[in-house]
Amino acid sequence: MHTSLTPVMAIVAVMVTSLSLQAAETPVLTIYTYDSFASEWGPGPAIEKTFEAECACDVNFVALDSSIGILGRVQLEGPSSKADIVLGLDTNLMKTARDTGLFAPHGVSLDGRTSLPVAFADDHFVPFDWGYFAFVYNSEAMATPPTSLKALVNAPDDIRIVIQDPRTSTPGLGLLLWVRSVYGDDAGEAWASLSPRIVTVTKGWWDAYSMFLDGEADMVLSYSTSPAYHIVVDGTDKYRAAAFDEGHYMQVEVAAMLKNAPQPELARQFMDFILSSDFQSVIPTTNWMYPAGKADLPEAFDGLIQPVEARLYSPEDVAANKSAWVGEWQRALSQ
Amino acid sequence: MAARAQPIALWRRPGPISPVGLGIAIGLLALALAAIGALVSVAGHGPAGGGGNILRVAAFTAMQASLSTLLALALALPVARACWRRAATWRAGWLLPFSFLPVVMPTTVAATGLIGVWGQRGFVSDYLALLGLDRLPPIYGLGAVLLAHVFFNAPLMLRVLNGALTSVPASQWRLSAQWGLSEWERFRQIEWPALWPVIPGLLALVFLLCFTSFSLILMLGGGPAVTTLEVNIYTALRFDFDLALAGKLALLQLVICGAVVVLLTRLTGRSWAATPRPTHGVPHQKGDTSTLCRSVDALALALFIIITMLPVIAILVRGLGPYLIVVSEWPALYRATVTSLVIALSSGSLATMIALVLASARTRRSDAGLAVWPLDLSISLYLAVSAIVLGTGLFILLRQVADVFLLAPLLVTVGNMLIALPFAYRVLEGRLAALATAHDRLCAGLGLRGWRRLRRVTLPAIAPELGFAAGLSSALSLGDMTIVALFGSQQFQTLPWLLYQTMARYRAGEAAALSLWLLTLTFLLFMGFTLAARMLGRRRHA
Amino acid sequence: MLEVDRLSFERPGGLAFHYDFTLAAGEILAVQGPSGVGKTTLLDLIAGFESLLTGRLAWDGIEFSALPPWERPVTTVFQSDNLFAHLSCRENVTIALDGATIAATEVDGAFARLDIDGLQARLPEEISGGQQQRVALVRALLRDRPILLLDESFSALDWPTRRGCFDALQEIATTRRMAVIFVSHDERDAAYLECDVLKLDR
Repeated sequence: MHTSLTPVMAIVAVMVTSLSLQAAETPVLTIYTYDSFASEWGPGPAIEKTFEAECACDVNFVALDSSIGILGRVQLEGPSSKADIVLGLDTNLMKTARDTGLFAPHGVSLDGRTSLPVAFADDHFVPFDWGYFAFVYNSEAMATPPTSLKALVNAPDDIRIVIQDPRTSTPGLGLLLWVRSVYGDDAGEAWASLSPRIVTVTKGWWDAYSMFLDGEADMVLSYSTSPAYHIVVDGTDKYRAAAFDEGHYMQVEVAAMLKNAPQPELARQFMDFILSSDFQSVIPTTNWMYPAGKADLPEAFDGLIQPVEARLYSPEDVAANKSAWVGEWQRALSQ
Repeated sequence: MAARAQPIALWRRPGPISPVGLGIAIGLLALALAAIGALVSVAGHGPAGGGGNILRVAAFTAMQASLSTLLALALALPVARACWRRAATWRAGWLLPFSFLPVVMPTTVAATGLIGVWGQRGFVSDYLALLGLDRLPPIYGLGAVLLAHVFFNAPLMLRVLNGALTSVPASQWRLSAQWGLSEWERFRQIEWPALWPVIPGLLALVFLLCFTSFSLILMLGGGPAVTTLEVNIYTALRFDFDLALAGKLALLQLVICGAVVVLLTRLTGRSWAATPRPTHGVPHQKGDTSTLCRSVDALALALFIIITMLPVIAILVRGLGPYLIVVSEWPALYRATVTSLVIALSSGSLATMIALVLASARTRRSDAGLAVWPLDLSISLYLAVSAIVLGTGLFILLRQVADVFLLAPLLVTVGNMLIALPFAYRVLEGRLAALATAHDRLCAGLGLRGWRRLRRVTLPAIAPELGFAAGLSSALSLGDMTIVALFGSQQFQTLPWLLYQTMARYRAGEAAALSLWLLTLTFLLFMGFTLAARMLGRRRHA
Repeated sequence: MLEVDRLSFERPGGLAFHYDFTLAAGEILAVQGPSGVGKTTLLDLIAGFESLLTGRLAWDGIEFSALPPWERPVTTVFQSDNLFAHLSCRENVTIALDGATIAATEVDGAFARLDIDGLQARLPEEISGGQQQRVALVRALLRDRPILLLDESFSALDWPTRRGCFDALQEIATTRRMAVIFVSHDERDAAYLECDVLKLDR
């Protein structure tokens, strides 16, 4: 009895030990990102599955409440942070992020791999998606939307718009920069003219968007790709983005790896993976943005507006002037 | 019962509980201050902004908070009288159990409810449109903020004021009926003396709640003109990562709130009463049945229902629907529910236990004058400590010591507990103080002291209040979105966190369903505690 | 023997009280006087709810002036509010018995003695004021401390019931060797009991 069981038990023991050793050895790649990216309907799950197959590792997304929250968290954690990668900052935060000294050069070659309407070259940050900000409206309720930012600013009072706070939301900041780039030093006056049409200024993107969907406003500041969501998921094309003559402000979302990443090799591998088609093909119908790399766009994206100009301030300009411009905005709207 | 002067007798010297209680209170305040200190210490680089703008913001915050508080009182007082007076005839008493619901509701859920009633596509607008009138204009701005604050706080005030009214001895009402006192005389001689002791403490509480208001301001304020210190703390901390400014603003907030609390509680030593008791044998008063009187009461009650209950109904209406089924199929929903319940029960029980220790300490030293105000003050001030600052400060303090991800559940529990503590304390302290006069003498004479007294006399006697305190604390924790926003993650999801995530996508239907789920759970949790306490206390009447 | 030896007490505001008497075990003392003269104060001093200025309190030669109320050999029945509202009558009695096991029959017997048998399971709010006072008396009886103080405890009862309580009181005092002091404004009480009277005046 004993003699026949012992080899079996020995084999089982070896198997169990090796399995547990292997489990203990599977490296974990920790990525800090914003909540909707990591959620079940976001790009997170698909990307996780694809990369885990490639790397024989375990990808762990840590969802934080906003892209600004991501930077704040790594700053709070400092050099001892467990994060390998942050994914979900945008160009407006790049200078501040670089100045923290927490991020490392990614070593990824961007040449020929990106398809952005503006030139992008940075050794610390890799873009992963982008979009245009645009005012979205309901075409069944509004037949002729304004065709330019100036037209909106001078529109009759019965157009109601809802926007976000530039201090707490990236679209909000985007609109601020958009107005600034079109009006320059007259931005304050433009905001004062726009003010009577603003129903309210919300903290986050969803607060404003849901208000628009509920009919509380005629137009909402969102992305030019928002209509695609409604086409694909809701099956309706009544929500459209208004194309403005002056061009639209952009948002480019980026990722970076940390200097003290616990898994630097894996992190570098992931940074390279970002511009691959496996990653990029997931983006359009989960994050509802344009892919930064080369990937096919779904049919729903065909009817989206194509702005005549893509406006974008450099990260240095934003960092230097942000508080002055936000102050100007506050003063204009407080009158 | 005759009230006798009680000079400090030998045997009333405070025992070992008292220093413990005082120690805990001071310790918790020190923790809060340490959190702020941690913030300031990490800061160093970055703009130390602010300037004259801060004072303007502080003044606006104080103005908005004062207005909100007074408006809430203006609504709650007539309704409390109407409720109490008509408890038997119109069954107005059923308003009271629902009165806690607005306080514990997550602010995002509440705001959607408010907009569902008062928005341009809300109930009222639809009703007006049906009548052929213009729809309501957009409500955003100071008016909406005041309305929201009244929505949140008037029910709480109602409960407390009602409790004070029911404490008036029946004999006074009998005398008043016999003498035919007019309404005004009655209010002046009988009702006001009963209400006055609880009002300053109540005003202080509501002022603090409105002063530190943050989500509501952002959602309903309409723009940067309507802002509070807390909003500025939030933007400084999260957006600019200007920790020094956030710390400075948090201290300023603490100082202003502290001054208000001290000022108000000097006016009276007592805090607010606890759960209302039923009134038996209160006779009809002269003028009670007059048309004027009934109309005023009806109007007050109707206004109250419109302002505080309609938004809840709006949430119900939106949430019910096919999305409930969609949401109920998410495994994440059940995980998040379990996590939320565990955290809520832990922080609720903890808050109640600590509140009991603190309230006992306070009651024992009630004669000692100067020694009690640090206790009162420190507890009230937890409301004034910005939750965001507290959370971030704790994070900084603890990240050296341990892995914050592992700590996240603990931090959320402790944070929620601190926020619930002032409420639980007020509930228990009011009742303990009322009981002390009856029980102290008796227990001293009968040799019932210490643990025996606690177990056999005090705990059964305050069982309803314990249930209310625990229920309130747990419900507050269940709806917390601020602290969990700092520490939540995919691994550690509470229901509000899940709701937050749902909202970040285009998922309106699911978000509404989740809001309903959260609201129902809050209600059930609260009722659960109340019923359990009732059974344990073996009271035969409500 | 209870010794109240040159006791003095002063209220803030200047009112001063002085007491000096003795009372043997098994004896009853009625304290009478106009209102405000210090009848209740005397009881409070003996029980320990007030602290005396000068003087000495002793039982059987052992001084207890410095002891806290729960260590004194005293039971007080107040004018009202003797019972805990959330406990039944039986529980109100047993809770004061310090863990000493008293047989249920003895408790019931005491209830019967004071003519309130059957009320054991009721809550205080369900019985009349007079009945509440008698429950308090049952408790005092079973607690068995040498000194029993009654502060106008029977003033609310009708004369026949009061007589019955006094009979019980007399029996308790003699059989248990308790020294009983009761405050009453009604001179019939002392007359019925044929006991000593302490008349207080300014």
